[in-house]
Amino acid sequence: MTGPRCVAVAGAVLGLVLVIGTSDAAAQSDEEYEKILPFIGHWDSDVVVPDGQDRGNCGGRTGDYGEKLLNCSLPVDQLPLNTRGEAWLKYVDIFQSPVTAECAQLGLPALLTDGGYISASPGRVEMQHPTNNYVARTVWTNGGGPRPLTGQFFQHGFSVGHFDGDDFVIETDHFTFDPDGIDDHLHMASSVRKKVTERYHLIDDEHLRIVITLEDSTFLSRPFTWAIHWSKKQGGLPPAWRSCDADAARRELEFAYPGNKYPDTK
Amino acid sequence: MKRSLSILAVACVAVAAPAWGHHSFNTFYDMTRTVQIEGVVKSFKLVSPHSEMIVEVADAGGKTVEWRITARTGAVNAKREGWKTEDFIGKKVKIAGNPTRREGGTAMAAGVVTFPDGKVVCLGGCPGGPPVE
Repeated sequence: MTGPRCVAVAGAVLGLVLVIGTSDAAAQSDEEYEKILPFIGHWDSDVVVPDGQDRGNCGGRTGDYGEKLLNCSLPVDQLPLNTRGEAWLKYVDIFQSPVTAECAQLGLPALLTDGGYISASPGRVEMQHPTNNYVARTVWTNGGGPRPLTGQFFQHGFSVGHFDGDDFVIETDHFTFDPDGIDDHLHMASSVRKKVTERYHLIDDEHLRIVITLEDSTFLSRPFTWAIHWSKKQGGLPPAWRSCDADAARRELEFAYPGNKYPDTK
Repeated sequence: MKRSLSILAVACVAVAAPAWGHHSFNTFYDMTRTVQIEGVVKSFKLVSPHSEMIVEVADAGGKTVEWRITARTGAVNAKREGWKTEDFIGKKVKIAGNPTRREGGTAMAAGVVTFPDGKVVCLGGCPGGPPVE
């Protein structure tokens, strides 16, 4: 085959590959869109608890001055803490809590308690918390996104999503150590071994059940599974300026919190 | 030591809005009690999670004590309500709110601010007021 003819054939083959490849990518994108579409929207957990009232899910655990802890994000009475986990709770105090005293964002699974806004594009699903410092998670799908290195950790971990039938399943790991990482009201930590699996199951067009499995062999004797519900709401993310002054957060602890577990520390 | 301050017990400040945020006022403040203080606003910062005010209150012996007031709403709502710190600083006001659980503490979560001219400002948690954060 002579030079120009060779080039022409190569060009035709390349063009054919591009057309087929593009069509295949478009078909994948359409399929991905159809599957994720029912999950897109504004979801609310419908949990409204007036201040001081108790959902009864902190398992009777108490805080630094013996106060009953309220409104934990998971059923603490069933949380399978191992001896290291129990030791953490025995010695932890609120002044070291990053969420309470340092304006830290909520972590998983506590983030899921309040609902969220779900949107998507090819290869990724975006989930935004409704209020907490505009926490936004990216869930990579269809092999998209970067891959963390061994030893590379993030507060909200690295999330990969896939479909299992019609259920959307998210698996998240590569978490940093987080002193509030299992629950920020309980002040129960999570380690770099934490793995959170969320299975989003549509009950109907307006209701989701999320089955959450928490694993962390540093603090838990076995994986722990529970479920929450979200309901679909109208409206989108309201525009707002969300900020937090860590000094103000810590000052309130210092002058208004009655407990002082470690008086010689700050 | 019992403090002798110009504290008047008033009717409970009605709280209509649920607590959406992850802050639990009840852990820090006795939400079943309301107290009222009167003093001069020394400073007022519009910050989140909660705006904070310092009020100088004279006790019965004439000694000045600083009260720290935590507004029940944050900076975004404060600015939406049109609060300007210069409208508060230097004014002698009455403030009603829920006192700290810390024994002997001079702090509260508020509540209602009443100015000498009768103007009332809600710092969060009042019917029709800005939402609690």
